[in-house]
Amino acid sequence: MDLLERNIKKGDTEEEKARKEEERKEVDEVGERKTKTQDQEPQQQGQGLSLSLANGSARSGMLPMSNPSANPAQLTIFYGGSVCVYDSVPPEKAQAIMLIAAAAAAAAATKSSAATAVKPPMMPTATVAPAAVVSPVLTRSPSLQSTSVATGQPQVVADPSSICKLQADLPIARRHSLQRFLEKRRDRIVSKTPYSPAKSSDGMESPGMEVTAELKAQ
Amino acid sequence: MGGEVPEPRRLSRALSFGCGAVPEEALHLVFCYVDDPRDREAASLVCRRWHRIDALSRKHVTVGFCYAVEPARLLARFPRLESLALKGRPRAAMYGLIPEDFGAYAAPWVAQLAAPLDCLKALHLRRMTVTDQDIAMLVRARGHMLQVLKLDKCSGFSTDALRLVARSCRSLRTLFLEECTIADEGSEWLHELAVNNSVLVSLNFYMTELKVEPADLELLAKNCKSLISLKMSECDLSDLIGFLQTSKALQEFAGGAFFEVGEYTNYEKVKFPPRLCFLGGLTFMGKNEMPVIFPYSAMLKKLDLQYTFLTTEDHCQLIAKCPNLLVLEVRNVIGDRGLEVVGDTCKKLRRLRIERGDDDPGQEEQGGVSQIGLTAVAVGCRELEYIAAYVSDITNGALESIGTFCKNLYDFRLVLLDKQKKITDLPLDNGVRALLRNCTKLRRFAFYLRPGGLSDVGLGYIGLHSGNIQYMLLGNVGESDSGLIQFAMGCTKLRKLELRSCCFSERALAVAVLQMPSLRYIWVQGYRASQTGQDLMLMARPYWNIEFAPPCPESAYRVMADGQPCVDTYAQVLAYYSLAGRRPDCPQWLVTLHPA
Repeated sequence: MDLLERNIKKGDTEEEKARKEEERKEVDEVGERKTKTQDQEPQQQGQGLSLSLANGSARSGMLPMSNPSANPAQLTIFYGGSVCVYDSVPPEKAQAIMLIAAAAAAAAATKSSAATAVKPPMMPTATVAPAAVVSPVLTRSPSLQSTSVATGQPQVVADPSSICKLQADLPIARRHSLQRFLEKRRDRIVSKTPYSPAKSSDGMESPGMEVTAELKAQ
Repeated sequence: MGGEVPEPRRLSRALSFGCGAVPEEALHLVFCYVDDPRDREAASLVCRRWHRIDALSRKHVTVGFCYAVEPARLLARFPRLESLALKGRPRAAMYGLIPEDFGAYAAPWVAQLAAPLDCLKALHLRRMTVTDQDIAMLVRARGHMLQVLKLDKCSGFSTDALRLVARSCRSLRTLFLEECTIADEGSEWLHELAVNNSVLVSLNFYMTELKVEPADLELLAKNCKSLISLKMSECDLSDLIGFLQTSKALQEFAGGAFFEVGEYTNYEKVKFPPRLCFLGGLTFMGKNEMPVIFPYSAMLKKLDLQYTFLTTEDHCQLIAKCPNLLVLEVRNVIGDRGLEVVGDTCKKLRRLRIERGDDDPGQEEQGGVSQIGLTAVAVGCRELEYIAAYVSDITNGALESIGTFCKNLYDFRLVLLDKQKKITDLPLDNGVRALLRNCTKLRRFAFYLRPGGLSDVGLGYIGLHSGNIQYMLLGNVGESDSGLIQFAMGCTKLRKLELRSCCFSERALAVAVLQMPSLRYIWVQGYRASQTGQDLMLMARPYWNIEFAPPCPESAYRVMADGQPCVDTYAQVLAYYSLAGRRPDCPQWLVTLHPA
C-alpha cells in the first residue's frame, strides 16, 4: 500500500491522521491542487505522523509541520504519487471513507499472504458536532506511536474470516405463535394413544419424508 | 398581455392563503382531505395558521416508538385526536428476544391522555405493558365513547379488565386482543360483552389462551347482528356449531380446533356462515377433517393453515380448490409442490406467508420450500404485494424472477434456514440487486441469511437500490465493516433498521447510522460488542437516544412473560430519535449511553 495521508480540518483544528486507500477517480499530480489558494497544503499540527507500507514501492513521507489551514472540512488524499483535495467533506462522510478503507485494507491484507505489513486502521476521534467537547478515546494500535516507517508487521484489526464465525452463533429465533403451536403438537402426540383407529396415509411421497402427526396404526 | 406587471408584493398577497383571504372553515375542510402523515407534516410547516389548523384537525397519530415523545407533548400538539396508535417493545419481542421487563408501559399515556383527549375514540397499543388499572382508567375517562380498542401483543392485564370494558363500553365496535398474554380469571367477560353490546363488528382474542363458553358466543351472535369477524382462542369446532349457525353475517372466522382428530363424524355438522371468506386457526386440522371446508373453498379470500396438520399433498389438494385467495398463510410443509399449485391456482394472490415448521424430522414432513416453489409463485401470482418466506434453499435466479414478475411487491421478507449445509447459489448479490431494482414499490424488506450469503458488494447493492424502502431487517449479511458502510451510504429513505447476527464492529455501526439521513430507529443484536459500548458514542447527537444492553452471562436468568428464561445472552443496541430525553424507566440490564 502506498503512503496516504488524510487531513481534516475542523473549526477547532483537531488533528487527525489515518491511512486510507484511494477511491476517487481523478488524480492530480503531486503539487497541483484543485483548490486555488496556497495555504491549503496538507498541514499537520503537533506530531507529524506518517506511515508507509512496504508493498514494493516503499515511500516514506514526513510532512512539514505548519499551521493548520483555514478551510474546515477539507479532505486531502495522497495516493500513488498523486494528491486530491476535497473541500467541505462532512465529518460523517470522512469517517465512513476511512472505515471502508480500513476494512478493505485489512481484508486485502489477510488475503495476500505476501503482504509484509498492514496498516492498522486508525479511527480519528469523533466529533460530529463541532462544538462537542467529548471525544471517545479509541484504541490505537501500537505501531502508530512511532513516526518511523512500519514494515514487516502484519497487524490485522479486522479478520473477516474469524469475525464471520461469530455470525453463526445466533440461532434463528422462532416466532412465539408458531413456537406454541409446535409445542402443543408435540405434547399431543405424546399424550394420544397409539392405537386409535385413524386412517393411514396413502403412502410416502418420497423417501425420507415423514407423514405428519396423524396417528397411524403401526 | 397588457397592463403593468403587478408588484411582487401584491401578487404574493393575492396568492397567499395565510392572510385571511380564505376562511378558516374552508381550510379545515381542505385539510380533512389530507390524510397522509407526511403530507400533513409538510402542510403544518407552511405557516403558523396552517400549523394550528393541522393540529386541530389531525384525527389519527401513530407513535412509532412510545419513548420517542412524551404524552404531554402529543396532547399539546394534537388536542383533538380521535385515534391513537402506540408501539412499544422492539419487534424482536415477538421472537422471545426481549425480556419482559423492557418497559413500554401504557400507564403514563393513559394517565395523561385518556381524560384530556376529548375526541378520542380509538386506541391501539402494540407490544406494550398494560395493567388492569390502566384499562380501568381508560374506561373511566373514555368508556362512553370508545369504539375501537386494540391491545395487540400486549401483556400485564387480566379478564377482570375485560369485564370492565364489556360492561362500560357500549359503543365498542372493535375489541382486538390478538396474541396478548392475559390472566384468565373466568369467562364472564364474554358474557358481559354479549349482554351489554349490540354494535360489535369485530372481536379478536385469537392466539390467547382464554377459555370461553360457546353459549356466550351464541348469545353474542344473537345480539350483535353486525358481527363480521370473530377470531378466537382454541375451541373445538364441534362446540361452535351453534354459534356458526347463529352468526349469519360472519365473514371472518379463526380459532376453531380439531381436538378429536380422526373422528370426522364429529365435524360433519359444522356449517360455516354463507358469507364466510376468511378461515384461520383450524388447529390440528388434518386430511380427514379437511372436507369440512371444501364447500367454502371457492369463496375463500383468506386462508390460514399455519396451525394445521396437513401434509404437502393435503395442501396441494386444498389449495387447488381456492382460486379466489388473496391471502395465504402456511408452514413450509407446503413444499415446492404446494407452491406450484398456488402459482397455478391463486392468480389473485396478494399476500403469501410461508412460516417455519418444526426442525425435528419426526414431527414434520421435511422438504421445505426452495427456489423452485418461489419461482413458481412469482410467475403465477403477479399481483403479489407481500411475500414472507422461510426457505431451505435459494438461488439468485429465484430472486430475479420475483423482481421480474412481482411488480407490485411492497413487502418482501426472506429467511434462509440453517438446516441445509449446502445452498445452491450463494452469495445472493446479483439476485437481490435484481429484485430491488425491479420492485420499485418495495417499502419493507427483510433478508436473513447465513455467513457467505451476501458479500460486502451485495450489501452495498442493497443500500444502492434501497429506493423508498423504509424498514429493513438484515441478518447474517456482509463480510466486514466496509459492507455496512457502503450499505448505509445508499439508504437515503430508510427509517427503521434491525440488524441481527452480523460481524460489524460498534464503530462501524455508529458511523453507518450517521450516513442514513432518514433513520430514526435502529435495533441491533449479535455483533462485535464491547463491554461498555463506548464506540457507539460516535453517533451521539442531539435527540438521539442510545441504549445498550452489555453482553453478560446474567442475562441467561432474565425471565420472559411465560416464565421461560431469556434464551439470548447477546448484547443489544437500541437507538432512536426522541423528544423526551432519557428514558426514566430503563430496566437494570439496559444502559442509557446517551443522553448521559
